[in-house]
Amino acid sequence: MVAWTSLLPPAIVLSSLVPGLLIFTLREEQHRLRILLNLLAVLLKLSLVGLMLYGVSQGLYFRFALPFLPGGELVLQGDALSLQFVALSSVLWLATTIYAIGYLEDSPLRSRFFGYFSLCVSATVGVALAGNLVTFLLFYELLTLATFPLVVHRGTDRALRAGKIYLAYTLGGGALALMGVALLHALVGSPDFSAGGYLQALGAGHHTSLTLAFVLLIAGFGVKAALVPLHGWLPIAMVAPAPVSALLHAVAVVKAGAFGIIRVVYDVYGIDAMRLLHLAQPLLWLAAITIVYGSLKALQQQELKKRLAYSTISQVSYITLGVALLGPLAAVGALVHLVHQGLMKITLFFCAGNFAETLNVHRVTEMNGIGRRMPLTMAAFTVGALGMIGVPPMAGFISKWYLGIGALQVEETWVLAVLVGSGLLNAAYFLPLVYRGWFAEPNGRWQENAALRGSPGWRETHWMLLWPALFTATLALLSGLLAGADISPLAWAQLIVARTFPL
Amino acid sequence: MTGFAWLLVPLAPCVGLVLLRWQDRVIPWLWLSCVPALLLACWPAQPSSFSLLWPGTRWGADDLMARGFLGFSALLWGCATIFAAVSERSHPRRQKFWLFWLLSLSGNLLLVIAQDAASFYVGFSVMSLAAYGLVVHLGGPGPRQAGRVYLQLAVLGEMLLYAGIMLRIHEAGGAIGAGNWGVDDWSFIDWGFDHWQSVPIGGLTAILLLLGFGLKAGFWPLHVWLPLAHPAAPAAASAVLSGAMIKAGILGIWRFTPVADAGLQSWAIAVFAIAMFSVFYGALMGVIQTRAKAALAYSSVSQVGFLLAIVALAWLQPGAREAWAIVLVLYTVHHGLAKGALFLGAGLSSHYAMRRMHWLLLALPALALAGLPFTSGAAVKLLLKDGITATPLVHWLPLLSLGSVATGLVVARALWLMYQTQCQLRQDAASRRKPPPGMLYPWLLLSTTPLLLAVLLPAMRSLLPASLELDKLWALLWPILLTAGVVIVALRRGWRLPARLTHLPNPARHVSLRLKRLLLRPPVPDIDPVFDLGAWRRRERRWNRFWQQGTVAVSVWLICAALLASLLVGWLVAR
Repeated sequence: MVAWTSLLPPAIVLSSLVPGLLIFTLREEQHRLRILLNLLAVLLKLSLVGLMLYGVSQGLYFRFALPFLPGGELVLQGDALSLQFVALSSVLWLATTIYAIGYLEDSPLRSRFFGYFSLCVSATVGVALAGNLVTFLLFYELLTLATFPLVVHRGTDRALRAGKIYLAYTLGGGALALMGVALLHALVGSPDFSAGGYLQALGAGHHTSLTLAFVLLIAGFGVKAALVPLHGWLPIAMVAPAPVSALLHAVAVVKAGAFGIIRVVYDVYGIDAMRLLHLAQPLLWLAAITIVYGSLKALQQQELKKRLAYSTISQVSYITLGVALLGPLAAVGALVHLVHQGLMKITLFFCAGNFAETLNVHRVTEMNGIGRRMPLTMAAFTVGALGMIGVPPMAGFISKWYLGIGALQVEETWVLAVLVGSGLLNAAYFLPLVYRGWFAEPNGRWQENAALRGSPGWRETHWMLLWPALFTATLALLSGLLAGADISPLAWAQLIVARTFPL
Repeated sequence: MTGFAWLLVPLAPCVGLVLLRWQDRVIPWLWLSCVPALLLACWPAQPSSFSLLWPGTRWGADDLMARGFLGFSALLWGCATIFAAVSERSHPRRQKFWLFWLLSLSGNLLLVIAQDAASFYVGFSVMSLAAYGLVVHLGGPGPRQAGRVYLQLAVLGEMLLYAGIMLRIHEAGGAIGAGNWGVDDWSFIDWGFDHWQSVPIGGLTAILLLLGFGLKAGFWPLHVWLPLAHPAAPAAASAVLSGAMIKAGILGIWRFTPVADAGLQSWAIAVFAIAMFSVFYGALMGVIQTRAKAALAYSSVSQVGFLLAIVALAWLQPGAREAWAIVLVLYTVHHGLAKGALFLGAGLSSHYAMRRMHWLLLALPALALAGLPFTSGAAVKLLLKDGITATPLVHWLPLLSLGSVATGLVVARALWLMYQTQCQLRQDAASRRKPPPGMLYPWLLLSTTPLLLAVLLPAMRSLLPASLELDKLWALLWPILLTAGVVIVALRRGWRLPARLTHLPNPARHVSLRLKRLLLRPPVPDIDPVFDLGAWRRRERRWNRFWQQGTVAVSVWLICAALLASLLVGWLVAR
């Protein structure tokens, strides 16, 4: 008799994988059945994740293992850190599924889209639940393969080109990560992730190979986390449909990279080995450069989605920055930003998608006066944008607060200058959007999407496009305002750090 | 239980916000959102922590500073809200106006009752950013420019403050006690002000905080947004901006700096000098303004100089901090209410016909600012002078009296400018309307506060007998008499401002515009890789042509070299 605690992790992965495969078999016109399957899968996954959250907070241990490689089993486990990511992806998957149903209404090839969409979420959840490096790598590569069809979904020349570049980058990164994992596997095998790392036992003898493996792993995961100079695919991949961009930027791809870096630093190498090998400082510099460069580039972009894409490059590096600081408070900042950035960025992409779908607005200058026509979407956009700048009481403020104190805690005062500079740049590229939306005069008549027949207010666009944006915006606001609540991302990040950060 | 009352203070305006979405009819009742704050200022509840909100929250008003600020802010905001409810009654964008109004109100009250750094920062940011909507409310190029300068400086100040607060928290031992690490319980997170009072402040921290808060307080040379924003905003908004919001900067400086600090003590004289310069600079610039509200704005620059001077004196005399705190609170309350009354009066006089009685009431807060005996102005001037006599700065005392003259001149100028607008109004028969009661009564209440405060506040009432002494009376009166003399001469002789002075260039506007243009198209080096597959093909061809003879042999050598290199790497790794 297998204990239910060992079956829950694979059940969470399968809860989206099986419906995804079923969706592939559906004919195009069976859209009711498809929606039903999608929603059932989302709800099932959410309840399973809820069960696991409750279990982990009660101290239960979830682990599932299959023989896979010599010295490396296929392990799925639920610890506090993986749950932070699983919960984020499940909740945002709910929002994105509804959004995608509304967004792709009456467009062709929906079965293919939703099939890969579910596979993508399964892979993301697999990345989150992976219990060792080998399993992590497996799901990491699956994620690449599952997202490619989504990026090229529209099938235009631009989309295909973007897909090619996306594939070149991510497969290259995957190959590097594979070499890193193989190197470590050859040295110590692939034991489970453990708080504080499992490499200290190796001693100082393997200095070079450990350093090389670290460089390979960071380069591999850095591609998805869009660290400069490996970020080139991200702004190009934004030709994908809005729900895909939202998922790519908020949970699935960039977060998988950032999550990989978190795992490598905290649970493979561990703080002590990182200090011993002097690996953190270069990573810190890389993150700082990425933050500033991403913001500077975002400032130049006149296309709304491109600006958001460069902003993602900058914001995701906050996570890497917090991780590389190697301090407990900075770790809280990094882990909480994993969730906060997801909530805020998905809101922004939903809103950008709404503008494009409803009023055919793609460029920054076209946003003038859009708050009068779409006040609710613009309000959600404002919450996301102000949160990104770090204006309290939105979620971004909590991240920045902890990152700032965390940087000072480990005596890296210059990081504060990076945070301030990035905050100023964020303000410089987000506030003009907010200004245009609310205060500028409209350029002329809107190019209304006749099918939506919207009017300002609750009917300003399709409800399936509007409500997900409002939902995630509310979460982004509440997770800052009520950060002290027991179920807030901050509380969970503190739980992770207190449990897995032995100092 | 009663601690939960503090939640009402910032929440009441937010409730108003929700109701407002429902319908317009609540606008005349929005002033009620200031009532919880006013009640709590009079009968403060126990300070309380709210674990549900962001970490470390602690709200309360258990000291004189917080109670004084809370009381006067609530009173001023309440009066201004009633005033604005009438003045913005038929404005097409009134919904937006009230949104920003209530958000600023909520932020302002929150920062006053905040007893910890995070709550203060939340309140400060919400107030700062929301006030942008008030500055640009009237629309058009003037408000837009003023709003841009305001917003740029507000964001800059915000970030400076963020850095300063982080450094200050770190100086105070970080958020965590050393031995507490590793437990599940994070309740030890605490950035309350009470822990910081004895922690010395670093030089960088002090500069960041002074700049960040100074950009809000608006003393020289950080005042540039003030004279642009005040004339651009509606009268009620200028009243709260100048009366309540800029005081938040002073409150911040007071809260975040330690009681006794050798570094601050050595800076005190320099800061005092800046403050005094600000007093005279503001007054001089105010006198050459051609709009009443611009003159009043410069008068605020001048008056904030006095507040900063009090802070500097408290740094100089750590032993007398309590006494200086009282002076600071009284001065803030006095100036906030009087300046609010003047701005509302300026708003009234530019649209409605004022009677002689009204002019008297308009002159009362103006004269109080100059230190008219038996008003709150006289009380604070006496306190300030008494305080300075005990410090090494006693020889600066005459400057204070000269400062009163300067204040008198600038408020006289503002009154004269209001009178001019009235004269223009009178020629236009259609606008000879009586002020509506909804605007008149809140203004009347504020205008009489200089007298009411002097009688009702115990700290000021005890000074009334003192101001009857002849020498003190004379010390208070001569600046006013001198001002009156200058004004009479100016009116008799018909002095006019030289045209050159009325059109002084404003560098802030140009710099702000430059910055905006720069940010629109920033020059950033492009290191994004270019995907030109053709370039690779061309390179390959060139390479082939280069090695046309013996391609195979060279290739073999290259492969061998690559193999050797990889072996070497492998050996290094395996070692």
